[in-house]
This record gives sequence, C-alpha cells and structure tokens, in this order.
Amino acid sequence: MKMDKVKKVIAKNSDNSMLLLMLVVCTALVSLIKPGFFSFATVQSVAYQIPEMGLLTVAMAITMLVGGINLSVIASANLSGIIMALIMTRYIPEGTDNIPLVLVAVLAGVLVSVAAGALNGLIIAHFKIPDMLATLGTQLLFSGICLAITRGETISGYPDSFKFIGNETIGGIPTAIYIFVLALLFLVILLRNMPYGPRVHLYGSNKVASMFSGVNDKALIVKTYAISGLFVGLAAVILTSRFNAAAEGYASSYLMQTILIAVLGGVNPNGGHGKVSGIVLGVLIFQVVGSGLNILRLNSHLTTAIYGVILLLAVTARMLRTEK
Amino acid sequence: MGNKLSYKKYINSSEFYLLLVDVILVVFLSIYTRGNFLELTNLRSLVVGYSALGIMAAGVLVVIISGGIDISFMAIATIAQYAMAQYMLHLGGNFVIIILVAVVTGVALGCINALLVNRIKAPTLIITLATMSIFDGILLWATKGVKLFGFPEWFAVKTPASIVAIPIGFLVLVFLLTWYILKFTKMGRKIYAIGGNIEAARRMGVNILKVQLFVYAYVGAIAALGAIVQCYLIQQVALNDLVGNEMDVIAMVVLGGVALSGGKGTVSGTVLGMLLVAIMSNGLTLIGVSSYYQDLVIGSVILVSFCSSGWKMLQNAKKANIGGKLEDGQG
Repeated sequence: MKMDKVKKVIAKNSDNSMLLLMLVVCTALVSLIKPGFFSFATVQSVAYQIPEMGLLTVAMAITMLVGGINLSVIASANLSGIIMALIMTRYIPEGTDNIPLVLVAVLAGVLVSVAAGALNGLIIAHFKIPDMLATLGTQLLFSGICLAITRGETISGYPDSFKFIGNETIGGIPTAIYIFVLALLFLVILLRNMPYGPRVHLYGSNKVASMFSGVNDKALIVKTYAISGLFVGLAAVILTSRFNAAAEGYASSYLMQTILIAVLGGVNPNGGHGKVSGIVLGVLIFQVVGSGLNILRLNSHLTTAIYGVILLLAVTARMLRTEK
Repeated sequence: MGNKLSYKKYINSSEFYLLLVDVILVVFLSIYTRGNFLELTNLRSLVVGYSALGIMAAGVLVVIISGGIDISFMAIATIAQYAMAQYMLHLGGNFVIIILVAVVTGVALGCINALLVNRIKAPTLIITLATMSIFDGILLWATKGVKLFGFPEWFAVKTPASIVAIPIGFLVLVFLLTWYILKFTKMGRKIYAIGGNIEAARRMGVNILKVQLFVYAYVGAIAALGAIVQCYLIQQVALNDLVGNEMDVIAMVVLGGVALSGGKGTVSGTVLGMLLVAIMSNGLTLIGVSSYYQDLVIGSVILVSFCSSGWKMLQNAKKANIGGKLEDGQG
C-alpha cells in the first residue's frame, strides 16, 4: 500500500524525483571524493551562495515560463547594487550606522530593478521585439548607466547593518536564506493561488489560445518582467552585501549559470512549464557540483566548459521529456 | 541591391531612414569637427577599429535571417585566431594557407553548432550560449591565456595602404559573397524559407539539416575571416580582443532592419547598420564624449532603433489588416 502511494507521488512529480535522485547521487559522489564534505563549515559556505544564485535563477526562470528570456538580469543587478552603494556611501559617514537610511537604500535598489524589469516588459509587449534582443539591448543600456555613474570604479564601504544581510547568520542560518525563502513563498502563492499563475502557464504554452481566452498578454508580460526585476533586486541586495562592493561588470559569469540552473530545474525554455521546487533542487545540485569541481581543483576555465556541457545535456533531457 | 523596390517603397523603408541617419551623422561630424572626421588618419582608425566586427556582421545576418542566433561566433573566431597564429609561428606558410587553417577551424566548430541546433529543439540562443562557454573554457584552459605575437615577415608587413586595403578588401568580398548567396542561390532562398516558417519549409521538401549546417558553418567561416583581419591589424592574438563584443555585431545587424523574428533582412541594411555603429562610436570619441558615457549613448540609440522598427512593423501589420496579432502570437 505504502509503496503504491510513493509510486504515485513519484509518477506525479517525475521531474522532481529525477532531480532529487541527481542531488543524492552528486552529493554521494562529492562525499566519496572528499569524505569531510559534509562538515558544518562547507554546508554553511554553500548555504551563503544559494540565495543569490537562487534569486537570480528565479528571475531568469519566470521569464522563460512565458517563453522569453531575460539577459539583462546581471546588468540590472549591478545597477541596483550601485544605486544602493551610492546612497549608503554618500549619506552614511563611514564607521557609523543608520538603519532607516540603509532600508531606504535597499528599497531604492530593489525599486530600480523592478523599474528596469518593467522597462523590459514594456519594450517586449508594446513593440513586439523578441525578448532576447530587447533584453540584450537593455543589458547594454543598464551597464552603460552603471559605467556612467561609477566611471569604472568600485563603490565599497557600507554600514554594518547592511553587511549583516549577506555575511551574518540568524540562529546559525545565513540571513540571506530567510530572504530567499520568503521570496520563494511569495512566488509559490503567486503561481498557485493567484489568477496570474494559470495565465502564465497558458500564455507560455500556447499564445494564441491565451489570447482567445481573453488574457491581457501585454499586462501579463510587463508584470512578469517586473516580477523578474523584483527578484533581481533582492539578489542585488544580497550580492552587494556579500561582496561588500558594487561595480559595473560584477558577477557576469552568473548569466549562463542562471540559465543552466533554470533548465536543469525543469523549466522549459520554450515556455509553459516549470516548478519552483524544481528550481530549488536545480540550485542545490548546481552548488554541490560546483563545490565538487572546486574540491577536485579543476581549472576554473575547464569548469566553465563543463557547465556548458551540463547546460547542453540538461536542455537535451528537457526536450526529450517534453516530446514524450 | 534589395528587392525590386520602387522608388516610393524605398523612401518608406527603414533602410532609407538608416541611410538618412548615417548621412546626417557624417555631415554633422564633418562640420562639428571642422573636417577632422574626414581626415585620412581618422578614417583609417575607423576602418581599423570596425572592419573585423563588420565582416562578422555578414555571418550573423545570415543566421538571424534563418531564424536563429549564434552568440558563439566570437569564441569561434578566437579559436581560429589561435589555430592560424600557431600555424604561422611553427610552420610558416603563407596567406592562403592561414586563411584555409582559420576557415576550416571556423567551419568545423560551426558544424558542431548546427548539429546541436538541429538535434536539440531548444532556443538557439541557449545552445550557442552553451557552446560558447565550452569553446571559451577549453581555449582558455589549453592556451593558459598566453598572447601570441612575433609573426613571420610576410604577415607582419604593414604599409599605410595595406592597413586600409586588406580590411576593406575582405569586408567588400565577404559582403558581396553574402549578398550573392542570399539573393541568387537556392541555398539563399532556403535560408529565408526556414527563417520565415521552418515547418512550411520542411513540408516543401527543404532539407533543414543541410541548410542549418550551411548557415552555422558560414557564420564560423566568416568569423574566422574577421579574426584574420583583426590579427593582421593588431599583430597579436589574445583571448579578450574579440570575446565580449558579440552584442556590438548583433546590434549592427539588427539596426540594419533585419526582421527580428527571422525570414527577412538585406545585406545593404546590414552595411548601413554597421556604418551607424562605427560612425557613432568614432564620432563620440572625436567630439570628446568621455568613454564612460559611450556605452550609455550607444545602448540608448540601439534600443530606440529596436523600438522604432518594432513599432513600424506593427503599424504595417495593422495597415495590411492581415491579423498581425495572430501571427505574432505564433512566433
């Protein structure tokens, strides 16, 4: 009886059970290579990296759900980081702290990303420009703005209360994890319990059917990209705090990695299909594989190449599953 | 060039606006800089700075017309550069041989892209993003980032004439070839066909794999030619000379009025788009705009131009009243 139930759950979530299996296998492999992998220290160091990667991946994945892509995530995160850094370094003298002002800075940073996302959505929806080209263009624009503001320099030196977000723990768990979990809860509610969720899936899988069922596709796209921007903004807060610095061109290698994780986590790049739980599993697998490659002391360039191969494999697997 | 557009149709096309913008920019810059813009040294630096990217634009044009995108072409170009530089440094050879070495490398890597694009039914952006990091990663690992220079005499000779003649020669040849292929060969028409509607093309009996092999191999070959010109002009091969400029090239092509969803686009438009980007960045430097603001200006111009061509397409669809909305939905 019990086995039947388990089988049913597995059949219902075949994507996620595959991912879970992958996660277990990867972790086992890494633990075999280095027996001490499961120490508290390594788990914690992985835990510090999960929120930023996860938030950026969600920002990418949600645009893939509507059959698009957002190539401006990193540039927009840098822009947010720079805005926050500017406010904090300009109005809070070094060595002092001012929590209300830090909150203002964080809010401003997140708003900048939301606005940047909405701009993407407006361009895509109202001018009918393919997502890829529109976001490539805004990526150029956002990094142009970053460069114009910073003149190529790095802005650093933040108050302790801001550093707390990315570098400290509450009850042994990194602060950023709490932000990540709350953001995911928000996303799950949005996709499950609001009319937005079914509309996104419908639009992503069949645009014509979605139009005939009366979905306002323009508003939907603008909303989707604005939400993508919201997640970028939250990621920017954590990134800026963890790096303790903001500049143009930071974290540029993350772009491919977010696409990789999203596809690995079961998001269909052609739209329509994707689960939050899958994305979380994707992030975990990616971090375990990443630390495994790190332990092997593999040349970092080869690691990039390996990520490319993994992306190809993940995309192939995804396409094979959808064809079925 | 272009289709048999009547005079009136041409006036209404986005290509004409682009031409107008190009001409206005040249006139403005010439007057504003009191003729400095038109001086030989400046025109030379314009050619040196943009010929390699311009050459590659021809390849990107072809792949966008076919309804795909290739962002791995700069990585391919860099690998081709290393291959030909190693050949020159160790075996000597001559111009013909190194062109062969570079082009064969480009074609081989392009074929890998084509096979993956054909087999995996995923967005070409994601596939070429993956191959880009594979190519880049392996190259970085294999070369350990060393720069190559000190090429044989026959390659290192640079005269004021050759600095202009070789890049321009390659540029003109590549664009003529692309124009000929797109306009007068069966393959060219098939490229437009699969870009317009791949399923319709398949049912018409077009061998999709063959066309994709041609398209991605062509991008690779053209990227390799651009790489040769780049290598000749700066007489060194380094990892970061080309990689990272993908967007500039794609922008040149899209500015040239390529239908953003494939199936449309002309060589003449791409030439105008290339000129616009080249003149704009050269002009900004010339009138003394700090380099920190240049990305911002160029990015805004590109975005505005994307939007205006998108807007125009929508208006045309409305005018033709052919249910543009429905068609968009299927894209």
